[in-house]
Amino acid sequence: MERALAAVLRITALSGAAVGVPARQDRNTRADKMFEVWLSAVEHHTPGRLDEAAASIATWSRRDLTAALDRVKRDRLETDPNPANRILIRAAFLHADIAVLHRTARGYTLPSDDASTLVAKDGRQLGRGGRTVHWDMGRKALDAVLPDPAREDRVRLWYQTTAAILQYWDEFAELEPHLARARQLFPRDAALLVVAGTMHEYYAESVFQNFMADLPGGGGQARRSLGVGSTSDELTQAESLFRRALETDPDRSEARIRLAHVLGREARHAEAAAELRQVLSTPLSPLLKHYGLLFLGREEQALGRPISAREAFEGAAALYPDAQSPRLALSELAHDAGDRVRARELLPAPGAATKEDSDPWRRFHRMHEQSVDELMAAFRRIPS
Amino acid sequence: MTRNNLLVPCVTCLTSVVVSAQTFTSRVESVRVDVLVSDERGPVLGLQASDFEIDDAGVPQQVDLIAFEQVPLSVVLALDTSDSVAGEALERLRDAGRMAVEALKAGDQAGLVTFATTVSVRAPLTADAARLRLALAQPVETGNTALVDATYTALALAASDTARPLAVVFSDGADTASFLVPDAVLATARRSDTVVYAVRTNQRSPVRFLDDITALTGGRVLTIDSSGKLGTALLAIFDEFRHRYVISYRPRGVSRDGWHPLRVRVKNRRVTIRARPGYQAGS
Repeated sequence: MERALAAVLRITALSGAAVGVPARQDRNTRADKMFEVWLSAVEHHTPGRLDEAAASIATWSRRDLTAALDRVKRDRLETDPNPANRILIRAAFLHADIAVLHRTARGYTLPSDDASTLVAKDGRQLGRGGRTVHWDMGRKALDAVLPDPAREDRVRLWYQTTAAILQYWDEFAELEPHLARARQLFPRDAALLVVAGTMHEYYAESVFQNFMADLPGGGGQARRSLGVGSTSDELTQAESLFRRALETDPDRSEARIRLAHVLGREARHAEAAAELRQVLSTPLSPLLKHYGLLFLGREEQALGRPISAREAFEGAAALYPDAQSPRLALSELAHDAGDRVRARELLPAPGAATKEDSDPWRRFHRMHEQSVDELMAAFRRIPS
Repeated sequence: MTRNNLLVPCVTCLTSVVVSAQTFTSRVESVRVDVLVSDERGPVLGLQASDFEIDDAGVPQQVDLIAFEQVPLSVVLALDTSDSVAGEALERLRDAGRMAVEALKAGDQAGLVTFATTVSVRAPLTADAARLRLALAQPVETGNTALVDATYTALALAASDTARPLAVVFSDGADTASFLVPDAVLATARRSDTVVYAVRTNQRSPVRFLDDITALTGGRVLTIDSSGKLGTALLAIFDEFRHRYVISYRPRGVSRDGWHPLRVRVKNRRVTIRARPGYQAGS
């Protein structure tokens, strides 16, 4: 670490030597000092901690942060990019950490970079919000890695982890450009393809589509800036992304379950059921098995096979006994079979508190193969 | 969904008519049809069985029974408590619920469902007004809007052999959370005798699911400009529902399975009839 720091400081010194008139000299003196602060933050930050290093640059403007990055790019030793690459990658992790550690349920406790984000809940616009500059700075730092950031495993892991985090937070205004760049760099990365597919799968849901439809002009501008198409367009995109993920990694169970869910939404019930039967024949976590059975029940119901549907829903309910969704589906099947007593028994118990967390369906729009906690831990273990 | 000479059915049976167990999917012994007859002055009262004509799948049927106000109600209120209905709006919702409870008559039963991201049955069907008031006062869940799940719950909970089932769904937005599929719940509604009414507060995009299920069951959608008017809307629905006729017949000359389109007419009168357009029997 010390060697790399020395190398970059040497770059700084070389750059400083090129200054001329006093006014310019003042500016450069300030720029030099800021660069030193930035560089020190990059070097001394402890991953996962809102330490002094992170705090020292957390509120910087885009212009100042960009200037620091530009300095690294401009002054790197062209013959040996490694010291600069190391700084750039550490910088990306620092910027991501600053964003993560300053995020609350109400948003970022950092100065907003702009006010371009629509804040929505329950399909309604609550207002506008700002984005933090640090995600973009992280991307820009990695873009500067030479000779090709796509060759760096740490860059791949940075994108895999941060994309999953942004998706978990439903932060689509940031996830969209994040994934766009990630997929340019790693077009066949199955993990990134599944995150992108999950995003488009969610864009097809009524929570998004109704929100867009209710915006002035049918949400045309918001659709363009966020990249949200019609339900059918989004389902088509999601299907394509899940299929590409499965081409790369056929054992990626979550991708197959999501593919089946999308096919079901496209009314391709027989195809969906076939995918689900295939994935259910493989070892699955209880959560993924629950989803597989839940959607299989739905497809069997749509195919007019109530007995198979009931078996699947019962299997899903057995895995998560407090989950409301499979029990409602079983109630519906009983009602359709004329057994109204059983249908009523399967409704939520009177007076019983229903916990949202007890029903995995309520969080299906987020990826499940790895928890965010696991991803964050892995993220912070990345060697520098 | 208001048209002349439209109809309505409801598979099932009043207790006084026949059947006890509701196995109408395999054997339709009696069909019950809930009908609102109105003209420019409002509901038309005083009609007799002989005034009605019903075609079941194009086959004229003999109307056996006609009931009016003497049949009690089995009403379930499904109230949206999602994030979009918070604070003062939620209190107005509770006030409206209390007004509905006060409007119940002897023999009526009511149940209460609330919904946000999940659905809760706050009170099963009961004639105990105090229990209903207590249920209305309980804290509610917040979050997204499981409108389809809640509508199904209300429809299934209201089902009754001895009373006229009515589900009233209040929501100020579209579904954002349900697991049940709208088409599947609509299919269930075709087999159910519950009439679904809906009340919406906002003027945004129409909620097609509510339009469809109210049309399929013979109810309708009322739009109000604020939740403060929900109580009045609920009373209007109760009043309208109490002025509906329940007519019944034993299907003759028709298949026991499949979709049965219905056509209800009133002889020699220029009236508007609101009723369900058909019912699903058998497999």
